[in-house]
Amino acid sequence: MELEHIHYVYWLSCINGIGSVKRGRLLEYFGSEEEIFGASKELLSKVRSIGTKDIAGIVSGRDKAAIQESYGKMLSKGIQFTYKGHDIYPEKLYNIYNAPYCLFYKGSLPDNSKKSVAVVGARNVSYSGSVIASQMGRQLAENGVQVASGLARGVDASAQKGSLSIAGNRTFAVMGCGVDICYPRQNIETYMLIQENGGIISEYPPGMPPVAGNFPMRNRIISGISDCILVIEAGEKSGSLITAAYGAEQGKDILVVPGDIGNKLYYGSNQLIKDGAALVTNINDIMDALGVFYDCSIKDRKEKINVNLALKEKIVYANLGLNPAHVSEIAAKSGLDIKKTMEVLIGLELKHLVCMAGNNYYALKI
Amino acid sequence: MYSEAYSAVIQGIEGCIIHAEADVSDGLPCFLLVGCLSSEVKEARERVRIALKNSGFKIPPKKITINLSPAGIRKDGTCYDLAVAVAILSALGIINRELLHKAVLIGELGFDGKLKSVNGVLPMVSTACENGIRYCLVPKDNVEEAMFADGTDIIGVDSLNEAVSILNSTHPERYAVRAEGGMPGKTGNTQSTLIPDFASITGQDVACRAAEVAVSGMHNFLIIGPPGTGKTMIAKRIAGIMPKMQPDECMEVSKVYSVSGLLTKDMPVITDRPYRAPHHTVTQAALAGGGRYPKPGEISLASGGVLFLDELPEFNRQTLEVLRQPLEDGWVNVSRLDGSCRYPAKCMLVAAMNPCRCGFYPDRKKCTCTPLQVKSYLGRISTPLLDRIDICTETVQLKLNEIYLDNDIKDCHKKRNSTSEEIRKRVLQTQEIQKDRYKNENFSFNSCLTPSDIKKYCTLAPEAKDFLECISEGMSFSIRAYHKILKAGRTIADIEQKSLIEKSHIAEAVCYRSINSKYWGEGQA
Repeated sequence: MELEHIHYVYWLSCINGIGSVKRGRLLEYFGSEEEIFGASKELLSKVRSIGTKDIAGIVSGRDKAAIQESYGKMLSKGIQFTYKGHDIYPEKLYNIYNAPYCLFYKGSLPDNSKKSVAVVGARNVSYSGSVIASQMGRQLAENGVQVASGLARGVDASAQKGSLSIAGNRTFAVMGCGVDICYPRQNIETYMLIQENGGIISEYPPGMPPVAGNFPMRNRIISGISDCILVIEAGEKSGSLITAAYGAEQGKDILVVPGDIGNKLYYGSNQLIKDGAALVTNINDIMDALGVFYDCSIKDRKEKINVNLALKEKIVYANLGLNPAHVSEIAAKSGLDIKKTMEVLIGLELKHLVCMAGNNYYALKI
Repeated sequence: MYSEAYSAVIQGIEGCIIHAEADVSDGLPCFLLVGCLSSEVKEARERVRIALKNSGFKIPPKKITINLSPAGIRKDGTCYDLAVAVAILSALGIINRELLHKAVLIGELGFDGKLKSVNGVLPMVSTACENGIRYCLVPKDNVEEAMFADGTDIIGVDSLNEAVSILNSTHPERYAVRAEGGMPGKTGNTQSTLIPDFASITGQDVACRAAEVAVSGMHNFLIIGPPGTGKTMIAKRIAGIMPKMQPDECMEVSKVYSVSGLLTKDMPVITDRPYRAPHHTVTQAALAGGGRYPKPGEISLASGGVLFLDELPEFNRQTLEVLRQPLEDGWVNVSRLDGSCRYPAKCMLVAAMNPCRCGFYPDRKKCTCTPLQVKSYLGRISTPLLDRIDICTETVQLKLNEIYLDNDIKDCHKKRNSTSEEIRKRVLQTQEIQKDRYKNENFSFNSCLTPSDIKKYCTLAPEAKDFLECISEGMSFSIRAYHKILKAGRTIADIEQKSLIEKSHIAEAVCYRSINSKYWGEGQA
């Protein structure tokens, strides 16, 4: 039984202890995966930084039947495999430094003919940040733009959920663990939906646990498969800044939603703008950056709704913002008593115009 | 030569009459004390012997045996010394036996023959009344407390010699202490001067109003808010807006305090509603009552008033679980080897907590907690306990100008919070409505409504019915949350003296619903 090239690549990418650096050295020395497969222990030991443990790992895995079986098993789990040089490997990734050697994915890979935007930001997101992320995700999807992100809590998940809310659009999640692991677990619903409407992508073999060190590396793939990077609510030491840095290095446009200068949640975002990133206030700015023709009429939901509201509802609605406020604050601002305010707010919530972001804390819903 | 005198023993917060039987007979000289005694009672032998000697009485070299009967009840405490001494003196013929069957003798003896104060005098004296005893001889320091029980002559005694002369007199009632100007608590003219006033709270209208609603229906109450926003301030004032205690309530609460030894000369009876705020390191036994020889816990000491648990999530989970049954029943049963006692626990639970570990959620500018941390912080409180809390409110951070606006009278266009006195009047009115409505039931507050009672008593106006249905569907309430809203709505309607629960009442009640994990940590679009 003979192995195909893809099996050799699969074998090399799954050896425990052999990461991108050692793999690079092996390939440099031997030239091809097949050569490494057939190399003797003496030859292997001549390669720089390959130790006895690594050699044992390489030698012990040289079972053609087992490789084929495990590859078949992986396929039957719905996990697909591609590698650099393979015809379905995302073209955009050839242009980045340290492009991933191989990709495991569930679902599909990004469509190269379509534009895609990476949406990244804080995990401990404020209500307004998550609303903006979700709105941007949705509007990008409405304009046929693919959304790439990391399925993390906060901005990532909100943007991807927003994108998923539009049927037919695709969103991609690049993981820092194996594609068969949903991390963080709370996003399982989104994780399942993405498999059907886009793809879960990872350069790590299935079963790889979410190790902290993997996460900064996956950011280069997020930016790599995208045409520009949208940063929402990045704090001072946010991981999104790493993605933005990769993006800048890869020559992608960095787009940033600005924030209050006194708010530490926006420290990183504002710093990016200071460093020359483009400032984004609505979807049009992103479409401009992508250089695509778009439908310029942004639907202003607010005005449409206000027509159908009673006077008191309008008053209360006007006093709401994206930052959650307590009922008593809203009552004080709108000059109504608390009971009436509460009654109006509940009415507005039932009309899906406001959202409760904590007990008795209300904010606008977009 | 046999004689007996009466004393009393404490069981729970009730007393029980016991007989001190003394027998002086020939034999090897000795002094024996029997009858299921704890060590401090056994030591009474030495105290009594020396007190008798130092009071000028000569103990003959005979076999003296004393039995505290009924011998099946365990006796502890030091209140039998006087009865034991008197029984011996009577057996020796020094004291006239005539009066001994009409008197209960309570007090600890010192070596000099002086009488010292003891705990639990009030329940003992009131038991004496119930048993038709005419005279109660109590230590001078306990007289005020004992006076609170009606129906018996209280005689304050300073020393053993004085007791002897009183018991030998033909008109012992001449020594009885007479109340002058009425007893505190009985005349109902007490002033709750110690409890701070609601008017001194600036802002926090929502929380103050919620407190009023909670007290009106005696609902358990939870305050959530960032640190330093007045949660404790509100809790401290809640006892002050409860209606004044009725004499029977005073009696019950005072008995608990008497048994715990918390009554002093300055405060011989409890007339103000108690406020107890145990620290969160409190143990189960200290909270619910317990110990080898049971003592009332904080929940009983707070009976009739407020039990305030500050920093609720910091309390040990197991400790809080013990509150569940007493809060439901209004009683706590403490069973131990030597029998079980029943203590009252009719308190209103007031709890306070921060919304998350750092205290600022959902203000993301200040809160550094992850959603998971927020959730786990809230998860520390057990759901069964939360289920017993009907009303929940938030305090909010005030801006500086809001704090100082009220103090400047010229700018005082903002409405001032009501004073405790004003609120109390409204509360009293609301509670009267409830008592009247539930006169045929075995409860008198809206908080006690069971689901079947809710159907019976919480009638909604048609408009309110549609509204509530709409909300409970839109916000996916559980059945329990639905019931709590109806209970709170009933109280709010009672405050406004409406027989039907209206839409605005429901809207306000929804505002007071308990924390729901759905809205914490996941309140994102």
